[in-house]
Amino acid sequence: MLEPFAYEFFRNGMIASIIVGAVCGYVGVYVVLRRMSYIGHGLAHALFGGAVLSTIVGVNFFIGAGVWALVSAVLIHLISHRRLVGADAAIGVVTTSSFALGVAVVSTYRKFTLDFEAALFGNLLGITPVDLWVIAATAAAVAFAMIVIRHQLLFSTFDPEVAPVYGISTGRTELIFVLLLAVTIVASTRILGVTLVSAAVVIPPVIGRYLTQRFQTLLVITPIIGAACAATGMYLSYFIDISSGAMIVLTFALVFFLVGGRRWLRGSR
Amino acid sequence: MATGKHTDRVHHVHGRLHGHPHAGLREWSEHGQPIVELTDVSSGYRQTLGIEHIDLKLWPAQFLAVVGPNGGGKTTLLRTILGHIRPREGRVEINAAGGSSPASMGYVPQLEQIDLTFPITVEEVVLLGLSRDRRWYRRTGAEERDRAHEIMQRLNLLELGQRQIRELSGGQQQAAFIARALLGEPELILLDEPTSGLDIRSRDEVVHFLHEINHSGVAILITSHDLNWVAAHLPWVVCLNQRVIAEGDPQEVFTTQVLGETYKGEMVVFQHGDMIMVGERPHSPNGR
Repeated sequence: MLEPFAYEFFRNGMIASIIVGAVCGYVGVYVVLRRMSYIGHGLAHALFGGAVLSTIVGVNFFIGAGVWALVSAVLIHLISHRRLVGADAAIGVVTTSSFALGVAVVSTYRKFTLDFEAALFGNLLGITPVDLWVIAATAAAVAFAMIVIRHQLLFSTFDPEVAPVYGISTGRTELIFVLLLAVTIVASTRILGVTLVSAAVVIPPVIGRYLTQRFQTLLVITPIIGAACAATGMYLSYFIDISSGAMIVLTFALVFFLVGGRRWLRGSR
Repeated sequence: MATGKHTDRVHHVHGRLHGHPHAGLREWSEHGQPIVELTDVSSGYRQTLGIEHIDLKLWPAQFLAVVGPNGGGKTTLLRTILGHIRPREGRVEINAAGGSSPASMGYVPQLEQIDLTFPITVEEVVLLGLSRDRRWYRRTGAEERDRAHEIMQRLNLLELGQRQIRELSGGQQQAAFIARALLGEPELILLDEPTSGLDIRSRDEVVHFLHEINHSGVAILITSHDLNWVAAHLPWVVCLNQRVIAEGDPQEVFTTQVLGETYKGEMVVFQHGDMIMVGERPHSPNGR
């Protein structure tokens, strides 16, 4: 049972998974309540271009992909607020062009294929102790910032029409939130990859909504659900020959169907 | 412009509530400074002007309804007063009673604009009204919570404090948002169509709460599509269709001519004693 914990790479991966599951879950509560799931998904895919370029240029992944994600987040925020095109179309433009740039670079530099697979689907073996510290520090900073602006986030999420009357800038709050989401996704990509990370942001809060209708409780249980599912998926991936990122997402999905199915059988919404 | 505007400096409204528990004398004074003053204001979104050349005064403790057709500028007017839209022309002045500082305003949006499936309790909704005082996160103090409970008690919400907002009736939900507005201790509350989508019982609850608040000295400005509700319960009305068509006591203002001009269609007004009823002319099969 404890055999995998004998390996350092597994211990690092397990700790990183728990941190990523928890912070994605916490940020995800607001993503789901603000109906911004598509932004999480889009940002993760946009990140691929940055991840690829940072490898080619030789810049640290977290710095290269981080800057790329922040620029993408600002672009998505600005375009979607211009109202010239819908938010979904704006995200589609930024996401697919950034993703296509990554694919173009990959097809030119085929020798990096393994690294790019890691960027797409995550790589447990790639978690170094330094990565672990970066992930932990990023998660702590995001969680702290989210708690500090919690009041603005709650008001602008629940009632964006009235929040400005109370001096809350909904546009600024949303921009800060999208930037925090971008940072969270960058930190999580090492474990889950750009194609799977949005599941960690979206599925735990949805499971949480099935279990509670109280906002404060949701903020507590969702990170726990995220961390527990991520740890379980990580552990199972050692015994079943499936990549850790995919196993973690499959665990999220399994819990979602179990909890959702139970509610459905009981006939409640 | 047709107008029923009073020349008296003090307005008394007697027995206008038809058996409502708060029927009786209510008054506001046009002495001193209006709490809101719009002078020749034109405002709107992008290239479209929602309101044009509006002159309007709202006095402390006044209770005023704005009626008009869809697209007639009611919400634009509210948003201009709230400062959400900057007027293209004219001047908007917001004054606290007897001073020049901006009056604290409460705003209650249309229920349809709020995601009522949001997992939030009634008490949490009301406590959002403290947001002016809390820029960053901090725990709610005991004194603040007591103040919220006091307001919830006034609006019969105390027992419902831990219920989810979506579990309440439409009237109770309105009461919760009114309580949130009151927690900021405003001198003026703006409500966008507070009776929209409510059944007759809930509409009665809402008017009950609003009169109670108005009696405590808070000025109220509402928009409404419900002409009969306005005629039965409110002392002063502004008919708006981009411009102010008429202003005054609904008994004087709600005429076939004024409402026809406001809604650009034929309206039927019945008078029975001191009651006014507004109806639509039935559609005839031959189109006449």
